[in-house]
Amino acid sequence: MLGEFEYLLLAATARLGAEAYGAAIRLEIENFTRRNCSIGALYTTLDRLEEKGLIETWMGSATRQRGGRSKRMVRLTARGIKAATEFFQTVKRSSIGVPWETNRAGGRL
Amino acid sequence: MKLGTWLIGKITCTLEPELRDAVVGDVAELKMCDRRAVCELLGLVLRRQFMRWTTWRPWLGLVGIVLPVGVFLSHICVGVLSGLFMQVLVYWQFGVPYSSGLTEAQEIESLVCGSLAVICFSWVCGFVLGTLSSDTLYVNGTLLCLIWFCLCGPLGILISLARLFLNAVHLMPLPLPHVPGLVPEFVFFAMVHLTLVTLLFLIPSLTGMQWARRGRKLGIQGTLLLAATAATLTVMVTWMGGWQQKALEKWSEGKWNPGGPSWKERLVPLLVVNWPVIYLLATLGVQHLRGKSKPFNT
Repeated sequence: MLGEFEYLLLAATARLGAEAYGAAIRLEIENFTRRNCSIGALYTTLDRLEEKGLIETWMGSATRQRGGRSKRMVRLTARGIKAATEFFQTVKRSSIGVPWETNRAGGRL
Repeated sequence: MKLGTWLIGKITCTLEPELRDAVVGDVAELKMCDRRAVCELLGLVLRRQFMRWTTWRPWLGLVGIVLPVGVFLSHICVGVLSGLFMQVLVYWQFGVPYSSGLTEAQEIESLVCGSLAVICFSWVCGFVLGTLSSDTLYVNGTLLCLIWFCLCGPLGILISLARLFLNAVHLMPLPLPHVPGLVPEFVFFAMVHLTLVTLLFLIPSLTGMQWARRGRKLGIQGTLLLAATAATLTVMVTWMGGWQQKALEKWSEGKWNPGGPSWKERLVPLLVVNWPVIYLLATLGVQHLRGKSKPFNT
């Protein structure tokens, strides 16, 4: 089972497609979660997901915008897609019938 | 160069070249301020370092080499150094070698042998530390240097100076060499001590670490030669350690037995500092049994 941040990272990678690399994934996660995503958390999670075989990474092209530095490109593997899908289905199933909005207001229906 | 840029360079130099490229590029692309970039990169380095300590290898390096070998090696180094230092000091002041009761040849042999032993063990210590886990070498190497610093480095000098001062107060003022100029005598004392201890311990162990970090390998012949050298030096140092005791007994025509450690007691610390060599041999043996004839590095 994936962790929350691992799922967010896989989802951002899937959304970005061929443009998925470190900085872009970070911005994508920050935009959707409205929370800070540190470089440390991002790259250690990328390493962990790669070790698990859920993603593949390789060094991409360098741009002037990046000071002539290369990008670490990311791509989902078949196992990664399967793991993210399972996680999403599990969250969806476990959320059925749970009135979160009402609970947040104090438990009244 | 700005401090932030310099710090970013220093922090990221601990990362692999490709990862360094990627994260420094991200920092530039996201237009992060230096302070935030330094904090985030420091976080990355710490997280990665923490993850590397989840295997047994860095722990074996820490518990098996840094602590026992570092302490015993420092102790042996200080022992050899005291003889070497006395010779340097007396020769500097009086132009003659210091006579500790041994013949001149014996004095030279024991000092050379002791110095070579410390250099050899320090190199092996650094090399095995690096081969065990080069990723955690920054931590383990720093701790080894810290032990060196406390036991026979600058802090060790302060302890030696304190001892010297106490001896001088209780017994008689020790003649220290006269160094012309404004340089105080204790600075001279410290510099000679520090130079010798750096040559014997610090430089060989750092060279060993550097070898391992660059992925340089010891072949079968290299390992066997190293093991034979370490074994020979161990035997020689143990044997020569008893010379002074015998010389004093002979000088007093058997009336004075100064005591001192037996050969077994002298051998134990040497065996402790020898275990990295045994580890190298064991690794070689395991690889040989598995039928791998290629040179090893781990």
